[in-house]
Amino acid sequence: MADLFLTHDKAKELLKHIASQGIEVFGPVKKDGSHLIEKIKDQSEIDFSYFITANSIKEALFPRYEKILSYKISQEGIEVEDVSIDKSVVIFGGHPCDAASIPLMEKIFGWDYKDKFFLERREKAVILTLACEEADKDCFCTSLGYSPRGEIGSDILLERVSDQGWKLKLLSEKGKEFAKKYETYFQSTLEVDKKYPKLSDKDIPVQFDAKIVKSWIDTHFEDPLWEKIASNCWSCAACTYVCPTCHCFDITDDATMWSGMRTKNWDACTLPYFTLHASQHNPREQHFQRYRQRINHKYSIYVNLFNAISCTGCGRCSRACGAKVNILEAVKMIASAAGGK
Amino acid sequence: MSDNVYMPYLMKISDIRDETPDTRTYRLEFTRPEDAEKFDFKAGQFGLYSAFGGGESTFCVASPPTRKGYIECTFRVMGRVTTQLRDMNIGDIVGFRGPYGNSFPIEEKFYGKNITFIAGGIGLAPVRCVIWNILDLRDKFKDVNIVYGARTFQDLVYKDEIKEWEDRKDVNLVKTLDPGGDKAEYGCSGWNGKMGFVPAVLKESGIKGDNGVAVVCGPPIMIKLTLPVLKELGFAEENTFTTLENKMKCGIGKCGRCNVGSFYVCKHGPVLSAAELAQLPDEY
Amino acid sequence: MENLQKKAKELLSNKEVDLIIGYTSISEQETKPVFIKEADEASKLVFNAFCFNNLATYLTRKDVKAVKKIGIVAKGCDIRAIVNLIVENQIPREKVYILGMSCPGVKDPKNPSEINSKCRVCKVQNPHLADVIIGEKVAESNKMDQKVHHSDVEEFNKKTREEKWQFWTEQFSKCIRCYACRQACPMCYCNRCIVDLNTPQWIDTRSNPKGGLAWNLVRAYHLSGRCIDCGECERVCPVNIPLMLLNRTLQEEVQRSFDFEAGYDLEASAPLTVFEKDDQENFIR
Repeated sequence: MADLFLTHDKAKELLKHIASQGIEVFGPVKKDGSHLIEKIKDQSEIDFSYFITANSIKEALFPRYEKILSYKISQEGIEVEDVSIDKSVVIFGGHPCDAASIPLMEKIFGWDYKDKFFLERREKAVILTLACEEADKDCFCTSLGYSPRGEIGSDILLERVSDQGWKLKLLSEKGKEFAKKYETYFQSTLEVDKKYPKLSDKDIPVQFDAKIVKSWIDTHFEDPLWEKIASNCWSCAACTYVCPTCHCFDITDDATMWSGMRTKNWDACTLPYFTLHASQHNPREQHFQRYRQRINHKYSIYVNLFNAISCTGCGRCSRACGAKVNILEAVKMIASAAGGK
Repeated sequence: MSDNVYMPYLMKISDIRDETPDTRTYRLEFTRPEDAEKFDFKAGQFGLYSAFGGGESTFCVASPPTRKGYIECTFRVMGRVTTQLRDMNIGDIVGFRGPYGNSFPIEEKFYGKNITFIAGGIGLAPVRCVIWNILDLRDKFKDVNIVYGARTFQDLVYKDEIKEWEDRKDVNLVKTLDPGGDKAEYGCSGWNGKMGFVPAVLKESGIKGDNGVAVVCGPPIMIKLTLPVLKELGFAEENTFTTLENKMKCGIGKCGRCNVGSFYVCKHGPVLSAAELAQLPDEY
Repeated sequence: MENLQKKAKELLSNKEVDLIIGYTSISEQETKPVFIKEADEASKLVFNAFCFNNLATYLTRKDVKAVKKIGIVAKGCDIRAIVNLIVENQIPREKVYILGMSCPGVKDPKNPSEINSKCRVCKVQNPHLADVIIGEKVAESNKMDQKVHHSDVEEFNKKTREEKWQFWTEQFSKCIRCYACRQACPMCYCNRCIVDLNTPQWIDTRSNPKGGLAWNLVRAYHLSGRCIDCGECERVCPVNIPLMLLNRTLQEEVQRSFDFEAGYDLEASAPLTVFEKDDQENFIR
């Protein structure tokens, strides 16, 4: 197939066009000083001048809150109505670390009971990722086997060739269909700037051995190092909500006398009352116990369940943390305590 | 049923029994006969019960799987959902999602053995399911012992059934109250059972662990003190079973709330042996 | 810096304090909170223009509360928070050893070439309450009796009522309900925050416009008369909601109505937490 290129201007047009067709489009928007992946609306200021967005593409497939059923209450009883996933979604502007989170999320949402809200949405989704041209000290995708030019989970990888645009790499049938459907927005040539690509795997050296980290976690649950690692943590959910693989949720009802709905809403194991029992007993009363759970779940529990680490090394949690807790540093402290690298 | 894993069955309350001033048992029947026909579960499993408008709450299924067409749940009024549930009447609709979790390995490990049940307070609810499951298939098991106690007479649940088990010749029931729990102010008009804490009463009961399986449920402190006694009496840790309770929301292993280390109470539990429990990290 | 490290080493060696909460460098232009318990860790402590965090927020954390005597490295705005905590009976004065730092201003974390706007109106560049003062005396830019006045609030107040409502509903619909603002804030220390109560559910916990509006307005209101303008909430917000604009508006309102600014006087209580028989009732119409 002939080469395909996409310029910034055409990309903005394309995204706004798709959004006008009743398809949900998530793309990078410049808002109040940062770049966020958001649902594109008419007035969205789509912008590509970022090295990484503050949030991940997660909410395109796993919304902050979503209705899972609704009901009517009357003298005769309760009438419940199901919810169907009918909208398609196009996700543009995430990175390989975002796309890599999708197969990871599929595992939990598909574990025996199939959560159609995630899985059907994912089925219908077309994912376009931007290969990275920049990394910072908080990035560590390579330590987990991923790459700044990685293709896992993506349908189309856009590799920058100039300051004006990208070359498309079609990775799946969905990707090919998408390129065909919107072919008028792509072009067959684009002037190439030799300075690209600027980044490859070797620019992000591997910093720890995940196997050593897991074996330390499995044998040091009560180790005082956890308090040291989590000393600054003040138990908010900023890290959880910007993370592409964090998936904890709450289920709540919102109703009037005669009708209501049940929703699935984002929640976080780092928040103080996440595990609070009705008896008021809290298995994770202290901040470091909750932080331990976050690391344990990502680097050990998920491996025990699905043979995969629930982290893609994007570093967003470290960047978002106001208390300056850094996950790379935490994992390296563990690796060091284990005597390894 | 729809393909929506969060969609509950709609159940009608067909019977209400107030066990204690703050504990109630509901008998729930399926509103759709096709649901009643297809429904099956095993002893130890739990479900999420909805009070529409209030939310969902997790209780075990307290009735045995040997009885078809209905399920029972016993709950204590503690918060938002249970308060709304308590304010319901016969004929009202309660949602039910389940059965979830694993079950007691009755076929694999209980057949042909002496079964000893130990429970405290409302902890009798998950155990009651197994008790009736076993009594409904009585000749598959050897001795059946039940040691049950509560803080006061008022706190005893399933009072009628305790009498039934007491009267049965093929069951050895030992009931007890905490010291002072037999006062008239607790509704007690004469107590012919033991006085003392469950672990101590178990120790003096003469029950032995030979060829035995134990099922323990109750407040965490009671379980903590009972497990060593069972060991002393000769019950192997692999043959001592209990249930874990943790805060739940989805019940199907996705919301990330109930795990104790890698043990997801809703998927790998709630039933586990004392040997397995000893391996778990202290976060439950 | 040496004086700070020397003092910290002394305090820990003599067991005058059991723990010191201070700042340590991550890089040339970034610091982070650090908790030290041993005298030889004192060399980790730094104090510079990148020490933005308000460490007083840790004073109400469960594990820190259990410590017998706590040393804390604090600049003027942080000390205002400590004063508030003492006034509100959250920590006895004797329990905290304040290493007061003379502070000429800290850099704006979102705009590191500039001094943060809170520093422009600071009246406590030289600590007003401390067990020891470290650093050279700073020439005061603002006098204590000057009424607090923020230029961004003045600008904002030029908008119409409708424009203001439109602005805030838009901003609060961004809110992802991470509660970083609440956890970073030294004045948010409630054991059970109102948003964590569900009988009844006062505030919708979902990240929807209704919930975001309710949460942010309630928090701002619960802070009024208590906010000490440290700016942490705005710094830690992952979606850049201009929280200080709202908090400063309320600060100025409290100043106008009650002639009160929080965190300066150990003997004064926040106006909305006490009442006197002769309180104004001119807002009841």
